[in-house]
Amino acid sequence: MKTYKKVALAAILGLGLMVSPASADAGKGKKIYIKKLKETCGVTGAVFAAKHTQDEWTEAKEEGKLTEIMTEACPAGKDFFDSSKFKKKFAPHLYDFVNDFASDSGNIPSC
Amino acid sequence: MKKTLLSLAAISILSINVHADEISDLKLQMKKMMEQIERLEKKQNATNESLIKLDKEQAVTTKSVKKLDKKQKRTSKSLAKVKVHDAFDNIKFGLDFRNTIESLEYKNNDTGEKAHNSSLLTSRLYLTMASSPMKGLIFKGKLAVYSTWGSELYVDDKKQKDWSGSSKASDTVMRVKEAYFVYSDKVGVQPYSVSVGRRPSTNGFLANYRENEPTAGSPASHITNMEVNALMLRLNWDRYVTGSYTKFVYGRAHSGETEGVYSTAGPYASVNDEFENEDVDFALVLGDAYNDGQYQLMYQWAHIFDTKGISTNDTYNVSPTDPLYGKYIKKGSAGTADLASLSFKIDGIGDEITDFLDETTFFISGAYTNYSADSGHSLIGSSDGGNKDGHSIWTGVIIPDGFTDAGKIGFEYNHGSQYWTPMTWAEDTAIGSKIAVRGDAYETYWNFDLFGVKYLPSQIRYTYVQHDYTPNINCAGWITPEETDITAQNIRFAVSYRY
Repeated sequence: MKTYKKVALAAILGLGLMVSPASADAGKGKKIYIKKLKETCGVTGAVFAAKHTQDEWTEAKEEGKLTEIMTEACPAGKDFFDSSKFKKKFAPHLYDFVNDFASDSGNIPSC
Repeated sequence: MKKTLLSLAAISILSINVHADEISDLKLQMKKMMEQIERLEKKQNATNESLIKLDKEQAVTTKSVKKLDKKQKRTSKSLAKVKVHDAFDNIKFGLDFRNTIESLEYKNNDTGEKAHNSSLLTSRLYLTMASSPMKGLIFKGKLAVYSTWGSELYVDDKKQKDWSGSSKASDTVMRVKEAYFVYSDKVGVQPYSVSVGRRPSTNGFLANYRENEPTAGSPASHITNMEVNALMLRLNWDRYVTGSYTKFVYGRAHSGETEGVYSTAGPYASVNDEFENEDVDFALVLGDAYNDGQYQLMYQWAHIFDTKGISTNDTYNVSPTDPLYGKYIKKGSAGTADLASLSFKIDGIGDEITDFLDETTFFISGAYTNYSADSGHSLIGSSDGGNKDGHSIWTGVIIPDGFTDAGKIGFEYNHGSQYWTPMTWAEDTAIGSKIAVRGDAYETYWNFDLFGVKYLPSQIRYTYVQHDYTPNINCAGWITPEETDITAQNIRFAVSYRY
């Protein structure tokens, strides 16, 4: 057991070095949707994401029009999509989430 | 005078000649200019004609571009439709391939006996499937191979049942861990879902953190964590209370003795044998009482029919030479079990106080079990026809590791009383279910993405269990939990490929 405690400790230290900088995360996006938007929009995250195809979400992201396209998909969430927090913090994660469950993604959410 | 007149006449003639030259020059110039103007006019006309031609051509081009634009829009729409259709016109497969090295140790502190394995090596492959041929209808499945390295091709461990075959490392056989479909619709304003099949009933609510799985299975894992086949009806109450729903589940965890496939008495006929080996069915009611994505309160109640225990009246009807001769039937249908839990989770402390608190999860869960024996029977040490109840608490906190993007560190604590007996036989802990501990269990784990790659989720987990009473590692209602002092510990290092 002592040997493996050492192995585990070495692994923790070693693997700690093998990490990458922050990146967008669909899981975080899903959490953000549930917490901040589900009630406001009145639909599940899967329904919200399926309002556009992956190309449409991506095009909006590239043209800096995520606020517009998401407001169009959920008008009640306008304040949230207009907020600086959305633009600075939430948008990349939310984009990853909607892209994962876009209408042509083929991903099937659980019931 | 004559001379003067002559001179004047000469001058006049000369000057007339000079004017005549100038006029002719001017005439010539004018002619040239006229010619030039004519040429320019011709050129201008030609240019105008060209411009008119260009205008016409441009109009034709604009028309063509508009036509092409329309065509492209139509093509894009069609393509999107094809993509949407194509995306759902097949079974979508996913992979979860995990390799682990584990070290485990058991110590009986009463006798000093020890047992250990310093390198248990396992591989687990999940092949996940999903399809949705139409709106409101989905199928999900999971095929599993969970083997120890260098294992037998087929391990015939009688304790290994259908309810844990894909969740405990054994042989290299691929088994069906999950396969079910869900149909969802509305009756009036009431949304409902119905489902049948082998349920996603392992690693449920709260157990997914210690298993480093992004989503939890269906039931709360404090009282049930088993692979089972069942029917399910789900009713959503979201329009009354945020995120609330109830599921009604009925299934079978054990098939009793039946006639064989080619039996002359009747294939698959139920056998009323002397061992009281009856079917074990169960009914569950579970759901979220409230879930706004941050605060979640989940309840669950399970009732198990004909759970196995000791028949205190009947002895085995076997030959006197059989070792079971004269002994009470120990795996007979002995009574019922009721299990209940109430679990509360906070996903993100406060509201955007700090990123650390936003990413912190805290949970606490309480649970109760009651085993009630029928007359002439005993369950987990109860008197004839008596009952035994137990309780448990489980709490945990999961925090960001602070140095990786998605890494989390979790700490968990469990306590169970002497007769605490949940149905968590498929819990993936090499030393046995820590949630079922009759004593205390402490656990810490670090979930992280290897090399920062989200497709390589990995984990280091340490579990320490203090059994104050007989360890509860298998469904065994005929065993009486007695006082003991056994410790078990387990370190697991797991690396997965998940896509």
